[in-house]
Amino acid sequence: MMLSESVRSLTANISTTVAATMTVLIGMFLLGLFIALGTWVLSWSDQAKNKLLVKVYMCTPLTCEQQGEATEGQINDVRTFLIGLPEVRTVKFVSKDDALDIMRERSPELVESISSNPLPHAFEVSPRQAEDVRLISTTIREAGLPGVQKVRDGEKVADSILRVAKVVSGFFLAAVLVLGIASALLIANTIRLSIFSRRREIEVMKLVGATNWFVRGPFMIEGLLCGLAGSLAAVLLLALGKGLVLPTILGRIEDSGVGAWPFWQNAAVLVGVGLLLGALGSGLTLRRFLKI
Amino acid sequence: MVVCESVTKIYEPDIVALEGVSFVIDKGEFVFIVGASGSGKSTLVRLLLKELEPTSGRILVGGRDLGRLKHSKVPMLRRNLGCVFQDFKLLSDRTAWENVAYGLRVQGESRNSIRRKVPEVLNLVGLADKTNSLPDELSGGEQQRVSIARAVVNHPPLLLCDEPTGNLDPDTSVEIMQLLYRINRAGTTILMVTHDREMVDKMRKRVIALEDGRLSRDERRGGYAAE
Repeated sequence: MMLSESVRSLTANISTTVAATMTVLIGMFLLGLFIALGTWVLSWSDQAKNKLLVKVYMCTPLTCEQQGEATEGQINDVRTFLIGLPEVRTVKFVSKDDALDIMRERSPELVESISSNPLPHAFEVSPRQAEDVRLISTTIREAGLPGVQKVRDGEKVADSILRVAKVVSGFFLAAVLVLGIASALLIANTIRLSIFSRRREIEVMKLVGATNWFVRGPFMIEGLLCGLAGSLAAVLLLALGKGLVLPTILGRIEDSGVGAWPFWQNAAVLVGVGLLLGALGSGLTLRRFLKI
Repeated sequence: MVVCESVTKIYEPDIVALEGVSFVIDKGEFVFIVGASGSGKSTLVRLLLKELEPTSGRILVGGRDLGRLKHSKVPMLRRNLGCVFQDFKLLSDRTAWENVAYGLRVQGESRNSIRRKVPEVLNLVGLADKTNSLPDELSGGEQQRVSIARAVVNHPPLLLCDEPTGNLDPDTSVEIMQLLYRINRAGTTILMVTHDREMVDKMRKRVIALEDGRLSRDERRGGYAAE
């Protein structure tokens, strides 16, 4: 009985219903995009951070003029020091010959033109946690180990990307928040209109002794239906977008291991938030206009 | 059945609707409440329905203290109170049958007992042949009968009538009064607010008169005006 009453009054003032549902739709669509993009960026930056290394370059005759080439003993000392750091996961030694090989692969014509190997021995240190990159590099620098020429970390790149992502996601969140409030208010307005158009029936209901929830139920369901319809439509649009638009973009930045949340999870969040907005909207009005 | 103890109602900021009104209505009585417009009659009805709270004083309906009645129990109070109004308060998009059944459905009555009770009560008010008519297709008197049927379908011990004949012609009013009289004879206490001088004088029932919010007269077998 309650459900049929709700549907009847929803169709009775169709324009406001559509407006409210549309706002929910847009809001939920943006929220869906936000979740998809946000989780994708997060997973990407995690991936990128995993690739972050601290590079420790040893001395060569060219770079350290007083000291000359780092000795075997110094290299071993540095290795034991690095392995001893608690934040370090792995330490990989790249000898100057290995480095030359790598360089030869990347730009053969450059290697052709040099007579001797100017590259230093180096350690590639990967941290247990990506955030520790800076900590490790400063520890090594401050240790002032003999034979170490330079310590470099690559965090800056990931940092700036994460900063951009933060700004974008902040913007998205603000938009979602505004649209969420707007849709809750619009739903509230829809419910208010429907309370108004059925005030006679409500009066009779109260007179014959309907319980509060019996009177409120249909309106509550009405709000929930608005939220549900809007969010389901948004999920549908997102699914379409995922099917049609995404492959063309993703073709370029395919990266295994990087991925957004699974779609169903995203959809579940959207429907949940949609229902919440509906409940919020109708609850708001019922509290104000349907005191029993 | 109904006890009012020095009931005062003041609408904010300072409009005094009722002042120190006290009376006791016993079970099975038929009581008219008369008074000019603005004398506080409607306020009294709304207080008895607990649509309003008295500023001071105590009201008991069916032994229950309305001041102590929890908000969530108000529906239960109203299920034991039949109400009939001047403007009928019928739902215009439902037939007579549905209007009467509506009250029962709202109270969660089963389909079977609705099917049993509705024809019974429509028969009682004399509308057995109009069950499928919409309110607009019925005359004023017939609409009021539907509204009475809805009010008494659950056999409430108390029936509140707020000017039930206010919108009806004299002949129809007499019919409605006869119907109410029959319901009263069957044991229902009736409290009737009215302007209908002729009716009150003819019935010679108990009359409670209000004047500017004060109880000015309470006569066992009174007329509309003081004699």
